[in-house]
Amino acid sequence: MPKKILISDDAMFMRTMLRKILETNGYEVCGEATNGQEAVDKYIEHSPDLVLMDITMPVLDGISAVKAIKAKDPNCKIIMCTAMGQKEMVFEAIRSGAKDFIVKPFQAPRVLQSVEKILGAA
Amino acid sequence: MGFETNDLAQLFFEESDEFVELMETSLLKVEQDGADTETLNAIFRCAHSIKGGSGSMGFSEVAMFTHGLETLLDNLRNGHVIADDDITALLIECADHLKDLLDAARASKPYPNSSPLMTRLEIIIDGGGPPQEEEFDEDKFRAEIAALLAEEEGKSAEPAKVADFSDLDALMDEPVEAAAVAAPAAAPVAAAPVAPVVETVAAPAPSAAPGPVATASAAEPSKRPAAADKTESQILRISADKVDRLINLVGELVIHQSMLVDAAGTTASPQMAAAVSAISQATRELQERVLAVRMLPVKQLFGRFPRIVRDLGRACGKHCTLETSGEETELDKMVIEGLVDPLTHLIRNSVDHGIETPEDRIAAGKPESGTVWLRARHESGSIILEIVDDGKGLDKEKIVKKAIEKGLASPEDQLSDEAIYAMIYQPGFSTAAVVSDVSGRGVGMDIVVQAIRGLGGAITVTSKLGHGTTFRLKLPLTMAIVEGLTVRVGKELYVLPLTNIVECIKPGADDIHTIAGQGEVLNLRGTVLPVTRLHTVFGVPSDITEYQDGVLVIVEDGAKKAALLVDELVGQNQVVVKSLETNYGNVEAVAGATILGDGKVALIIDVAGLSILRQASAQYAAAA
Repeated sequence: MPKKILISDDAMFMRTMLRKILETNGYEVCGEATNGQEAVDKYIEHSPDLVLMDITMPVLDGISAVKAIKAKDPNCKIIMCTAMGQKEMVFEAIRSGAKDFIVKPFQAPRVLQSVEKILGAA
Repeated sequence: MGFETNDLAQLFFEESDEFVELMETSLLKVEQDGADTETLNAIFRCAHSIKGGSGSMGFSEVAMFTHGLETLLDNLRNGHVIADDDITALLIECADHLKDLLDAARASKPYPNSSPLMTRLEIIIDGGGPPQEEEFDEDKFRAEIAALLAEEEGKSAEPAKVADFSDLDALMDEPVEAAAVAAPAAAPVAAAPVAPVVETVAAPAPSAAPGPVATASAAEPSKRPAAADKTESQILRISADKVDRLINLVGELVIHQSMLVDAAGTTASPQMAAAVSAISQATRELQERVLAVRMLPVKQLFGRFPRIVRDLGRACGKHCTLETSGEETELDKMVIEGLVDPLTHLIRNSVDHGIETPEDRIAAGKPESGTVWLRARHESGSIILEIVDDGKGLDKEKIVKKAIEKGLASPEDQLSDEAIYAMIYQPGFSTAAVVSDVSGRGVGMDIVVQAIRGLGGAITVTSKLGHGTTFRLKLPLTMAIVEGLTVRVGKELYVLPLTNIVECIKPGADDIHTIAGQGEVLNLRGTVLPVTRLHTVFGVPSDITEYQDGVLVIVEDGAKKAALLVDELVGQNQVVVKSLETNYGNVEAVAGATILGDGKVALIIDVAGLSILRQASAQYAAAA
C-alpha cells in the first residue's frame, strides 16, 4: 500500500508539481490543502503518513499548522516547504515539530530524498 | 522529470496572472485606504508564490525579481519599512514589471530590464535597516538544522509505548479492509510480519526501535467517509476547447431530440411518448448544465478596471474612483472575453470625456472626486451592464452641431434625444475638441457598438447635461443558444432572435405608405417605421406580393425599430447557433445557422446587421 502524503500550499502550481513528483514515484497524495487550517483539518481526516507544508499561507501559516498538528499527533511527520530567506522560520518550524525541509525551487530528486528519509527511517 | 511540462507551465502562468491581479487590486486598496497587515500579507503571499513557481519553472529572471520584491514586502509587513505613497507607487510599478516579465517568459521572448527597479527596491530595503540577508548556503543550513533536530528529538524522547503484541492477534482477525484503512493519527504501527494487513509507518525516532505497535484502536472500523479518498481539489481546470466540444455535441443532441419529438408526435404509443418526454427533459437539463460550465462571474473582468480608472485619472489630472457591483453575475466566457475591449473603451471614455477636472467639478457644486460605476445584473434572461458616470453629461447641442458639420444630419431634422445620442456611435464621430491620447486611440464608439452587436447585445445611452451619462449594455447570457421566432419567406425558413422582436402584426391595406427618398414606411399607431421586405434582403422568391397577405415583424436594435415583411410565422423555439464563419466568413445580416426539429436548415438573422444595411442606404439617399 503506497504511503499517503498530504500536500499543503496556497499555490495550485506548487501542489500540482509536488503531486506529480510524488505520484510518479509511487506515493499516494491523499489530499491537498490550500491553507494551514485546511491542512490541520485534512490531517485529522486522512491521517497521512507525511505532510509537505508550505510556510507562507493564508488563514493559518505553516508553522502554526505544524504546532496544531503536533498537538493532535505527537508522531506526525512534516516536511517544510521553504524558500530562500526563510531560515528563521525553518528553525521555528523544526522547533515546533517539523522533521525536515525542502527548498524551492523544488527539484524532484531532492524532494524524494527528503520524503524517503523521513518516511523510511524504520 | 517525466511529467507534462506544458500543462505545468500553463498552470503556472494562469495562476501567476491571478496572483499579479490580486497584488494589483490589493496595492490599489493600500493606496486608497492605507496599509493594513492583512492586505500586506496577501500581497506578500502573491509575490512569494510567483517566486516559488518561477524558480521551479526555471524562469530565473522572474524568480530573482520577485525575490527582491518579496524582500521589500516582508520589510513592509514587519514594519521595518513604512508604506508611503512613493513605495506603493513603486510596488505598483513592480507589479506591472512582473506582468511584463511573465509575458516575456510565456512568449519565450527576451526579458525586459529589471535592474532599474531592482536598484530602487534595494535602496529602500537597505535604508530600512533590517539585517542584510546573508548568502544562503543550503549545506551549512542543513547542518544547523540537523543539530537542532537532534536536540528536539532528545527533548521529546518520551518513553515509547510498550509493544502490546496481544493486539496484533486481534488485528489479524480483522477483515483486511478494516485494518488497511485503520492508521489513525494516534496509532503508529511498526514494520511487522503482519505487513499485508497493516500499513507500515516509520517509528518517530531511530532510537525507538523496535518501535510502538498498533493499539487496539487501530483495529476499530474507520469512521473515514468513503468520499474522503476522492481528489480534493474542488475546482477543475479544463481547457475551454473540451467544454466547447461538449457544448457542440449537446447542441447536436438537442437537434436530434427535437427531431425525435417531431417523429414521435405522429406515431406515439404511450410508452414512446413517455420516453420521448423524458429524453426531452433530460436533454434540456443537460444543455443548461453544460452551458453553465462556461459561465463565469464578471468579477475577473471588472477587476482590471480600477487600475485603468486610477491611471487614467492621474494622466488627465482628475480625481476619479470606480465603484463596481454585481461582480458575481455570471456570463458566458466567450461574452466576457468579447467585452474586454468595448468595456475598456467605455470606461476610458467616461473618465476622459465624462468626468470633469476637480476645478470644474467644484465650480459645478459637485464633489471634487468623480465616480464611475460599473454594474452588472440579471434582467429577464439577459445581462445588463451599466457604465455610469457623474460627469458633465452629453451636450446635445454640440452633438447636433457636429452631426450637421459631418453631414450626418440636416438642420431641419427633428431629432429625438435617442437619435441624437445615437449619433456618437457613428464612425468618425467625436465631440472632444482635442482628441486626447487616452481615449482617442483610433477605437471609436462605432467599434464599441459593433463589438457589442457581435456578441448579440445592444447598447443604449442616456445622459443628463451636467449630471452624467449612462451606457447600458444588454447582453445574452450565452451565445450558444438563441430563443427565436421561426418565419417563412417563400421556401426558406429564417430565425429571428426573440430579444429583437417587439411585436408581430397583420398589416391592413392602408398601413403602408411610400415616402419619397425613404421608401416604404409603416404607420404603427402613430409611429413611423421603415419597412424591409425580407425576401429582397436575401434575394429569395416570396409567395406574396401584397403586404396584407404577409406578416410584419417589428424588430428593434437598441432604440431603432423597423418592420420586416415575412410570408408567415412558423413557431417559436430555442435553437442552437451554428457558426457560419468557418466556412463562409462573416455573412452580412446573418448571425449563424441552425438545424430545426424537422432537419431543415434555417439562417439566424442578425437584426442589428439589417438595421445597418437600412441605415446605410438611407444615408446614401439623403446624400444624393
